[in-house]
Amino acid sequence: MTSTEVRPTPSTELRTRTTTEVRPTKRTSTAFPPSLSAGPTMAARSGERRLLLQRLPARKDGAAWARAGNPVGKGLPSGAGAGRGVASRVSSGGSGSLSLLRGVKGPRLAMGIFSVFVVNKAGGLVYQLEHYAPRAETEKTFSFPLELVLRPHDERLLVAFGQRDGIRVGHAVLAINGAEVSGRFTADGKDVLEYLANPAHYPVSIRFGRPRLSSNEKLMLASMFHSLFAIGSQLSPEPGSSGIEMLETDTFKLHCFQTLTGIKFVVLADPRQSGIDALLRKIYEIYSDFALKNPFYSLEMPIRCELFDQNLKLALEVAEKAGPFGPGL
Amino acid sequence: MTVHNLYIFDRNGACLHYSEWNRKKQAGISKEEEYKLMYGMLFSIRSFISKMSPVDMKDGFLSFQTSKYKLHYYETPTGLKVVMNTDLGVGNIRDVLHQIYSYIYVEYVVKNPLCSMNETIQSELFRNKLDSFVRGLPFFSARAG
Repeated sequence: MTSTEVRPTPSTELRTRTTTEVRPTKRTSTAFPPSLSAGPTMAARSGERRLLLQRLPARKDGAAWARAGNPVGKGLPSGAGAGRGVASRVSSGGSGSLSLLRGVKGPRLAMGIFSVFVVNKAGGLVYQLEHYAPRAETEKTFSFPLELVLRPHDERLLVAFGQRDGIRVGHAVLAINGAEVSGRFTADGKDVLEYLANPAHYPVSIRFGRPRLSSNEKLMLASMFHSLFAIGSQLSPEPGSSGIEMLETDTFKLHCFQTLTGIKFVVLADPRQSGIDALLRKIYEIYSDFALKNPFYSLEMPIRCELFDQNLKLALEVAEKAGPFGPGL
Repeated sequence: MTVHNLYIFDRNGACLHYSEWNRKKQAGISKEEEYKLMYGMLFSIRSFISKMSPVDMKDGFLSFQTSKYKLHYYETPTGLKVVMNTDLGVGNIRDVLHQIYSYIYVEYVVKNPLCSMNETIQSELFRNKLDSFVRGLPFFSARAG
């Protein structure tokens, strides 16, 4: 702490924001190659899979899917050999049966922790790590009159009407003919809506999925949580309540730990993942050891410390292994 | 285990009903303000969650907890919201909130010709039924009050 006090700390909020905007994108791109599309083998298998799936119960896709023998696990033979363990894990991958075909990839099956946020005492996002994003993406080939209604929203093209085959209202256009789109424009700078309005470009294959958060949205959500946290404690029917410590939805749980100095560590995890409280304390420890003790780190500013990154990732992996999904799931 | 209080909001954010059992702290603002703050918080949480969720959601927001209480949330497809604050020992009570909706709200408000919709519920019958239902819950205990 003494080292940080010696140096002048330029704590301008504006600067905090602009600098954070650059960093997370870089991180995510190194951690996850952007194109997670299914390989040719999976595409070829998908036909027979779809037939299989029709005979299975509609919901609980993941479990049913795995029981039928999934092609997802480390090159497992597609016989009926995928065990119960796999079944519980795959179910977090996506909601539609079709999306599951493309959804989960490679050996990373048991990923229970989605992302980590560190919010400073003013509500600014100082660190964000996208640990694992379950993919629910659907690719489909369309002929000319596009039956989906697409509408631009927040620099993205979202499906406004015409939910079908795993493509849901609210999903964004992610790629056209295999080429990723950036916002409302294709890779070569053409407006996607104009491109899709031209019959000459059909048949066209479009990939849809949940819109990924931009850096600006992450900043906004972090400060939004900061205020929700405060309101949560204000509306308490009991005296002396803290803010929101755990928030549960059907797809994820958000765990928050606020330190005495007001920094919030937020972890988004699978609802079945256990041991998150210990992980939050561990992240605080890592923050104290590798961010605060770093002489080049200034308080309240975005954390760009290599050791912090490394140790955090390690802690996440340990937590995922040590606190697996509850027994019997 | 105990129940602190219960809010029912309509789809537009008006508070249709409020009752409390073992509430030890008031928010320090008028009741009207408190309803608005509560609805505003839930509204923001819903939008927050729909953006944060890594996959598509079905039911969405279920509950949150702080160090002292747990807030349970249930929303019907028509947008009616039932919010119950309990202590931390209570698990998932989605079905209880659904029962409040289907057995009490629907029976004594929707089917009551004297109750107008989207207005504060004046019906004494509804109030009594709700009170006895909540007092009869396994996790409601007067001991804590």
